[in-house]
Amino acid sequence: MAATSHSTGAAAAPAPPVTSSRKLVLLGESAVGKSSLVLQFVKGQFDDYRESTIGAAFLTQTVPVESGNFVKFEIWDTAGQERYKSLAPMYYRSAHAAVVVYDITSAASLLKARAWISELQRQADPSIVVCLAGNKLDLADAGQRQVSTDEAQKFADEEGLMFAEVSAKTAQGVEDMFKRIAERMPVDTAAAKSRTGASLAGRGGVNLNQGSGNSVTDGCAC
Amino acid sequence: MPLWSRTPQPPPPSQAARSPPATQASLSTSPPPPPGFLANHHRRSSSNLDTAHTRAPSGPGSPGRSTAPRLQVHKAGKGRAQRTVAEADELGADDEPWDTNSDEEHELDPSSLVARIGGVSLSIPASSSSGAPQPGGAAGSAAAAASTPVSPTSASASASATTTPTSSSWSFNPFRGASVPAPAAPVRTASGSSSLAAAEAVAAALSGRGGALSARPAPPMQPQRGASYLAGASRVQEEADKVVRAEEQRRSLERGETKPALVDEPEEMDVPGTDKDGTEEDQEGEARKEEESEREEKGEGWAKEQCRRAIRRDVDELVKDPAHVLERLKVAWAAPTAPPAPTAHRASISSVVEPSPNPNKGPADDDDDDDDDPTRGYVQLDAPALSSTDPSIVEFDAPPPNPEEEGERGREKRRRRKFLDVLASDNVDLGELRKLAWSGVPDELRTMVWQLLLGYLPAPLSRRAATLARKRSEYASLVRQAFSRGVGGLDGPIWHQISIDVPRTRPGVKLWMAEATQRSLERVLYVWAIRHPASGYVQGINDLVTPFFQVFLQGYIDADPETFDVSTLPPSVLEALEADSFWCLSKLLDGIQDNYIFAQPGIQRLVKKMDGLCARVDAPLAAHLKEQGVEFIQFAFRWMNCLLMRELSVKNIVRMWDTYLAEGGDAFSEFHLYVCLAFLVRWSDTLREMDFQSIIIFLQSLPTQDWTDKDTELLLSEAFLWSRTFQAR
Repeated sequence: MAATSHSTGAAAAPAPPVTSSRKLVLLGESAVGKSSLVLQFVKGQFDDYRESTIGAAFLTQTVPVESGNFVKFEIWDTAGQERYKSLAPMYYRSAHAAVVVYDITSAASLLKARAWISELQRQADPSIVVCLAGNKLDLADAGQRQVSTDEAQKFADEEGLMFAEVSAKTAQGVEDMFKRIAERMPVDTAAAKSRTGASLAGRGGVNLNQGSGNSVTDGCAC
Repeated sequence: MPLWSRTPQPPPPSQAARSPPATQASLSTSPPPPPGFLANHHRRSSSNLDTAHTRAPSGPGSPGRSTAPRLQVHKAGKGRAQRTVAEADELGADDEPWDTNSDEEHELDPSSLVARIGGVSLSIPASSSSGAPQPGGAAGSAAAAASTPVSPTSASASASATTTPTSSSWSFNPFRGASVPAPAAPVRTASGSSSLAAAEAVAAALSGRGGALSARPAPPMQPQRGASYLAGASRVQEEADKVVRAEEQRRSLERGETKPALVDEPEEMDVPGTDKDGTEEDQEGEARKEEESEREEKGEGWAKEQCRRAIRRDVDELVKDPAHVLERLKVAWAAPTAPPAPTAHRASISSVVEPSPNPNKGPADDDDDDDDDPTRGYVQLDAPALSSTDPSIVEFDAPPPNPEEEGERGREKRRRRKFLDVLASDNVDLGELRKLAWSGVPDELRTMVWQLLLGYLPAPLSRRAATLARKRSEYASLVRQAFSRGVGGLDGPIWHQISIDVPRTRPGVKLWMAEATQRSLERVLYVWAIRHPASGYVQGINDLVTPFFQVFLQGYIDADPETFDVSTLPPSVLEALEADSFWCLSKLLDGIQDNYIFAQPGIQRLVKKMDGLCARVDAPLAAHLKEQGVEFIQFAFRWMNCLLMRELSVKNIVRMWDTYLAEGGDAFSEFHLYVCLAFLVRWSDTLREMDFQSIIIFLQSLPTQDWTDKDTELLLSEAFLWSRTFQAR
C-alpha cells in the first residue's frame, strides 16, 4: 500500500467517488471465528465447521462510506494457533486496521485478544485503527456468555479501541462493524487513487499515511 | 475454552450452565505428574537411544540408506532457531531412519520431554515399562510382543481366525454369519488389564459427571466396556470434549434445526474474494444433506448394515498381514496377458540432467525388464520420464511396440503383475518396490506398499505379523497411558487445540464428520503430540492423518471410505487401522519435524528455497511476482505446512504420496519443494497476467477440482527433473 502514503484522510472528494484500498488484518485466538467473520462479511456465508486457517487467507470487500466514497478492504485473515504467531507481524505491520477477535463464550480468548492488542500497540503502525470484536453473540442467549459486554467495552474504552459484539453466524453486527471501521479509514484523494490500483502490491511498504514515525519498517518476517 | 486458560479467571455465573464448577475446580488443581512418570519415560527413552544408535547404521532392507539425509534437514534450520532445532535433532536422533524396518521403534527424547512437558500430568502405569521397545530382530520382536501387555488388538490379531472380536458395537458379521458376542472379556494379561481398569475407572468416574474427578478411584472393571481399549479412552475424550467443546456441540445440535439462512451462492458475489474452500464446502454440505435425508428415509440401521456388508470377508487376515490381499489379487488379476513389451526406444537426455549419485536409490535399473520402469505412466504425457534408479539416465519412453497389448491397459496389467511378484516375495525387495511405486500404486495394494515403503511393515514376511501386533499393542498402551488419568491428566493446551480442530478436519465428508472417526483422529493426534513435545500438535497435521486413515480403511472395505461408518468395523480392525495410521503418520512427520517446531524453520527454509528456484526455472514469473509484491511465504507457507493437501483432492494427494514414499528419504520436504515449484510454474501464464490481489486470491483457491492422476503425474515428473537438476549442484 505504498501509494496510499500520500493520502491525507480527506474525505471530501464529492465526485467522482473514490475507492481507497485499505489493509485490514484479523487477529485472535484459534477458533474464535476470525475466518467465519470475514466470510460472513465478504460472502454472506456461514459454515458451522471450516477448515482451520493455515498461515493466512486473503479476501477483499468494498464498502461505501458516508462521504459517498468507497473503502476497499484487503483483508488478511491470520491463523490463530500460537505456532503461527511469528507470521503475524508480516500481516499487521502495514495494516490500516486490525480486528482483534475474541469469543464471548470464552474468557480465555479475551485474554489472548488483550495480548494481541498490546502487541499491536508495541509493534504496529501507531495510526492503526483497532477494533475489539466479541464474536459468537448468537450464543449469548444460550447462557454461554463468559465475557460481559460491559467488561469488554470498558477494556476497549481504556485502550482507545473500537468495540463491537457480533455474530458471524447470524451476521448480527458484522457489516456494521466493518462500516464503522471504514468510516475511520482515510480516503485517497482522486489523484492518489489513480496510482492505487497498480500498487496494492506494495505490501512490503509501510503505511505512512498518518505519520508512523516509529513503525517497524518494511519487509516481511521471513 | 476457559478451561485451558493458563491463568484461570473466575467464571461468571452464567458459565455454570456449560461446565460443572466441580470439573473446573478439579481441573485447575490437577496434581503434578507423579514422580514415576518422568522417571519411567526417562529410563525408557534412554534405552531407546542406545538401541537406536547402535542399530541405525545397519538398517536392514534399505540398501544404501542412512540417517544422514534426515539429520541434514534438521541442521539446515539451525541458524534460525538453534535451540529448538537442537531439540528436534535430539528427538529425531533416536527415531528411525526413514525406511529401516521399524519393528524397533524409538521416539521420545528424555531431555526435551522433561523440558517441555513440565505441566503435563500423565501417568504411566507400572505395566507400561514392560512395553518398552526391545532391541533385536525377529526374536526380539517376538519376545517384546510376548512381554508387552497384550492388548485386545494383538490378541485378536493373533487369534482372529478363531475368536470373535467382542464389543457391544459389534454383533453381526454378514460374512461369518451371526455371531454371538462372547461376554466381552478380551484376552488380556494381568498388567494390561490393570492399566485399562484404571483408564476405565476414570471414565466411570467421569461419566458420573461433576464429582469425583479428583478422587480417581478404581472400581472393578465393567465387562461391557472392556471390549476395546479404545472405549476407555473414548470416555475420557468425550468428557474432555464436553467440557472444552460445550458450545460447539450445542451448535452442531442446533444445526439440524436451524440452517443458517444467509448462505449465498458464492459465484454470484461480485467480490473477487471468492474462495474455493467455501464453494467446496457448500457442495459438500449439499451432499451431506442429501445423505442425511437418505439415511432418514431408510434408517440409520440400514446405513450401518450397508457398511457392515462392505467389510471384506478376509478382514481379519488383512489386519494380521496386509499381504493377505495378494491372495485375492492373484486370482482377480490372473487374466491371461501377453508377454511384456520389448524394450522401448530410448532417447537419453542425460545431458540435461546431471548425474547425481543418490543414496536413496535402490539397485541399478534392470534394462531388459521394462515393466518396472517407474516412469512408464508418463509416456502419454510427453513428460520427461526416467528411471528413478539411475539418475544419470533420463529416458523418453516410446509407446510399447507390442501390438497385442498396447496402450495403457496392457501396461497397467504388467505393472500389476510386477507388483504382485515383488510383494509376494518372502523378503520384499524394497528397491524394486520403489521403482514400481514411483509411478503409482494400485489402490488394492496401497496399504501394503505404503507400509513397506515407510518402513512400518517389515520387508521379511516372517516378521510382519509379530511386528504389526507389537506396534499395535504399543499404540494401545500409549493410548491407555495418555488417557489413563482422565481429563485432568490431559495436556490442556494441546488437547484444546486438537479438540477444536478435529471437528473441522475435512468438513462435509461423512467419514470425518462421524463421531467414531473423530475420536480416532483425536487419539492419534494427541498421542503423537505428547510424544513430540518440541512441536506438539500444529494445525495441518490433522490433515496429514487423513490419507493414511482413508487408504488403510480402503484396504478393509469394498466401498468408498469417505462415506463409510467406521463404527461398524470390528473393534480389532478399527484399533489396527488407528494404530497403523498413528505409526505411519509418525514416520512421515519424522522427516519434516522442523516444519512444526517453534518458528517453523523447515517451512521458512523451503519457502525461501522455492523463491530462489523459481527465479531460475521461470524468471519472468519470479520477476512478475516480485514486481507485484507477492511474497512466497504468503501462499507457499500453506503448501509446505499441509503438503498441498489444501490445494489438491485427497485422491491426488494419495497418488502423490505413492511417489513421495517411493522417493523415500526426505521426499516430504525436499522433493515436495520441487513439486510445489512445478505446481506454481504450472500457473505461470495466468499469474503473469494478474495483479497482486488476483494472484493471492487465485493461489489460495486454485482450480484443481478436476485434476486427475495425469495432472498429478505431470507435476511429479517435472518435479523429478528439477530435483535431479538442482540437487546435484
